[in-house]
Amino acid sequence: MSEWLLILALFIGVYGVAVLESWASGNRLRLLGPVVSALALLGQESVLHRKNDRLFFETAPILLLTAALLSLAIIPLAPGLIVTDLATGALFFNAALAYVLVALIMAGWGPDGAYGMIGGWRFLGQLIAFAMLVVMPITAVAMRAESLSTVTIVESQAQLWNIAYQPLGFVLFAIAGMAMAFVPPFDLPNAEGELAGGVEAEYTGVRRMVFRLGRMVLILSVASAATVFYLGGWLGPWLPAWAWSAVKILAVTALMLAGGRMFPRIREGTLLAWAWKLGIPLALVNIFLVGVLVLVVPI
Amino acid sequence: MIGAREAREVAFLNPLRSMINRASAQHLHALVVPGPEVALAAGLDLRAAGLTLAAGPRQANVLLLLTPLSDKMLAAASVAYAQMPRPRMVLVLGDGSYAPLPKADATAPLTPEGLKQAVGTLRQIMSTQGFAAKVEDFDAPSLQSRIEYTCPMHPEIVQDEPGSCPKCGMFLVPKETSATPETHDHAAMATPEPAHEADGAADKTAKYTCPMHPEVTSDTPGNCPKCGMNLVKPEEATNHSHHHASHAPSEDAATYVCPMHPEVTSHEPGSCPKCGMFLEEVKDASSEGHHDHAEQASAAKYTCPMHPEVVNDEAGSCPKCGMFLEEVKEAGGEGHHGHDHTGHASGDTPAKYTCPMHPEVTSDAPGNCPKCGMNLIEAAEEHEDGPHDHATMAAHAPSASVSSEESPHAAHGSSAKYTCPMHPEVTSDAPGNCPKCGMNLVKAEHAESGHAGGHDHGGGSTLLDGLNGLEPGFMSMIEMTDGTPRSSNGLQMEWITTPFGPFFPGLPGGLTLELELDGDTVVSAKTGSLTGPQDLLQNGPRAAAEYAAALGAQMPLATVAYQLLACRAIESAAKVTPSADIKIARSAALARERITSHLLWLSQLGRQLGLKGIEREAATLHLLVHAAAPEAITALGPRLNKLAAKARRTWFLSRRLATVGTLPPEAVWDGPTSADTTAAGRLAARLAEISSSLSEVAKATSLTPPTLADIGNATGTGHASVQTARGLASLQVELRKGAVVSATLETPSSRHVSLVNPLIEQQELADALVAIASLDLSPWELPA
Repeated sequence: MSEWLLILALFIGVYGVAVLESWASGNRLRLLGPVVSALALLGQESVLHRKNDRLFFETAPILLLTAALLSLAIIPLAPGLIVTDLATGALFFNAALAYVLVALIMAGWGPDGAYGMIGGWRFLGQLIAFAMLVVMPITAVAMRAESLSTVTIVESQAQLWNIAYQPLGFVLFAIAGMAMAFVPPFDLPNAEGELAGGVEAEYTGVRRMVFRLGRMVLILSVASAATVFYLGGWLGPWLPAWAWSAVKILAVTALMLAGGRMFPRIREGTLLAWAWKLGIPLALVNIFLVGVLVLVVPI
Repeated sequence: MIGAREAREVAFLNPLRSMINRASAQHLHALVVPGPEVALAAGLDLRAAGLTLAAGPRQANVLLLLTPLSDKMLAAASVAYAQMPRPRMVLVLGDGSYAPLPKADATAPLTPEGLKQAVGTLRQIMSTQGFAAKVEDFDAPSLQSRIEYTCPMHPEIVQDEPGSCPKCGMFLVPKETSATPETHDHAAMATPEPAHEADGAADKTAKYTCPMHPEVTSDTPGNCPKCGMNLVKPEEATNHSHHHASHAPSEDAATYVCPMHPEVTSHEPGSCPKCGMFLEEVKDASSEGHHDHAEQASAAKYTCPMHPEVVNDEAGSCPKCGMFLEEVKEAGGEGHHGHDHTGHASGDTPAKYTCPMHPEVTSDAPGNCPKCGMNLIEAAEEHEDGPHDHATMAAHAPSASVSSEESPHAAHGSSAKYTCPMHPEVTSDAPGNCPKCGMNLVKAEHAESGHAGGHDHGGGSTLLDGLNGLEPGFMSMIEMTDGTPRSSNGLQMEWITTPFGPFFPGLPGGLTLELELDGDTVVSAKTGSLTGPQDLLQNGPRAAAEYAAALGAQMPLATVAYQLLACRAIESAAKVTPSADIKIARSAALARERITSHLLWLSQLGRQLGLKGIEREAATLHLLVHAAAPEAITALGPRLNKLAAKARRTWFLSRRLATVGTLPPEAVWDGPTSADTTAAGRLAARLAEISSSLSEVAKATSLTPPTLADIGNATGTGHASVQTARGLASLQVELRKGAVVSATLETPSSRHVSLVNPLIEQQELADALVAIASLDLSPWELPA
């Protein structure tokens, strides 16, 4: 029963993200938009380039989708509504997302085009820097919960959500999560104005559909993780637990997508400088502060 | 529908296909030729008409042509069309021709109503005919390609026929190139040729020199003390390598050539930019050589020092590499370079041949490797006990270079070691396989003491030269990258030449930008245009009014400015002064165009930087302003100022622009100027001009495109200049009896284009694109 609920939740979630994404980029809320796009891409020719690296070109969209789906496995939507409550769940999230990097580099390499290749290598620097910034705030979250299990992490926020307990960690996690999901203004690997689509530039038809689906699941996954780690997951009054999860996840997604559109795309150099010179020290400060808080105010 | 998808008739799929067709009809993504800014300038609202802008041809299913278009633009459009996935459609607005492209699915006049109607037609076609039983191929002249063959290791080797590389013997691989010059939207990798200046001087006084070690010179013939090869006369050494390079660029005027890289030629003596060897003088590439061995007994056999399988009864040159065949005193045909011909008796043990890359390939006879095509090398060394009589370059491994320093002869015999051709640190006293890569170990001997100084090879190549059994053409990464250009950050990366444009999002359509990229750092740029001012007087003199209209129509992004320019120039030639009212109306029309031009630029910047809000709002305001009356524009003032304020306030925007596009102090820039010479300064200047132009527009009562005053049959010459949104444009005209007989036009973009390279050198790709965008170059003003 709960498997079917989870699959249903996944479909609704991805659909919601797709609607929000087209709203954020096109400024129009079209509820049927994702269906139209999916059908049109299904009917489109799926071009295979003559000088391709077939293995990489074919694998990349599927790997992106798989990595994003895997990272969703540790997200609890309600008590008992989780794919697997791993004892190392919080770290598993980061581990699964590491394959996004592989997928994007493969997607960039596969079609033998300069735009895609530059996009892939750009993301290499971006993900390595921001994967650190994802895992370090999670460390502070786990310190408070005294567990890496995502269910325990949600339960540890019963008194006070982590967004209030460790706001610095939330800011860092949100920025790093956006960079990992390459949403604007961190869309360096698939920038339209700079690389004409970058890693996505040469994908058409069904392959493009899978790629975009993977991207939507990735955004959903990052938004869900922010909800679980910082916004108390399913916790909340009046509404049933799953509804709270849904509301929070979609709200985080909307904020992430709309907020990002207010900034120009960040330069690669600036982005990396932020991550290594500013983000990492701040994340260490956050760990220290939370450590002191956990000892002094253990709620 | 020309671009439908091919589909067999399958009954149960029909409902799905009809759903897909209907969805596709709602999912129209357009690639606009020349560019979305031209559509906006013509007053077309693509978004309202239901077309989404595609980032590139792969994302598009509608090719929107805004005619008339230049032939070059149409050729580029046909390439883009070929890149579009099916189902795809062509929509032509305007009544120009669109020759290489297939018949348009819909045509309409270049008006908003025409566009709306045409999109309706497209939707109808797509929703019924997205799939067809039989589809036609699209074949444009600019898409035709031919196959040529090139060596994977030596890209300079290109020939029309398959075969093996004269340098390394590998099979040439087919490579597709365009039959005609064209612009692809995505780049194939290209290996740039180094452009280093040769320096130094070739040793021309020496009579005999080693083909491999040019520093070895002698007055008498003999063997090279380093590698044992026969010394040759310098011109012969040149001939060796030059002879087989008939397809390499060998200009008649070039007199110096690298013995290893025949494509490197120079008018002056110097050293090769690829390997550092001295360039040698070419007397005549095709002249027969006078090898010192050729005078010897005719019964002797001759073999190529590089290709042992080439054995000939007569002296001559190798059919594979063109080197002079050398005399073999003994039978057996063994002919490694570096061997003394007297010492190496291979008659006792049957010679085995193996591939340097594939040790598992062995053969009793010389030949080519069936796997990679390289020449097989003799593997008999492993079985020999006797010392070799050659003195080769030693491996650089520290552990193996102790005893040999004192005497070159001490190296022979006792300290002979075996080493891996790939891993010089692997040494062994006995033959065997490399523990790292499994290749057969080859024999390495130590150099004489002097080897460290004076030779010009890179370290790796001397190492490889010295390894017994390896051909001198062996591909060493160090040798291959040695001399290739290196950027100031010191990282050795492959440089790629990537086209950005002509239909690149974030740059004006029709602008071709070819960036030489070192990683994602820009080394240099070539900027051009697929469209540009044509000679309006090529069919003889034109009536003045007609000329003014034609000049304006040529510049779709600055029609008013150029019409005004023509009017002023002609009036100055005719000595006619327009009334004050007309002057005000004209300057107001120019001010309105300045606003719209800056709005277009701002919209494009928003697209480039991912600022969708600014992109959309600037485009919307452009559509509202571009044909509006003064009162309407004044009413839009608050909205325009709000957009300008939004652009100023957008976080990180000014900061991002403040570090790029700094004009050099001596630069000639007459576009929108502020004290700040960076891209941020130009953004601020354009925003300020929008506000100041607003008040200028408010002074006028009506806005009409500038019309020429009555000049009668005037004759004379006149000059005028107009401050357009992009800078100062000037025109000199000569009138004869009321007709323009000659005209000289100078456009701001043609001046500013020279700023591209100084602005982008060593910039990161994104910064370079922003810097170029900040110049607001118009492809219509650049010579095509």
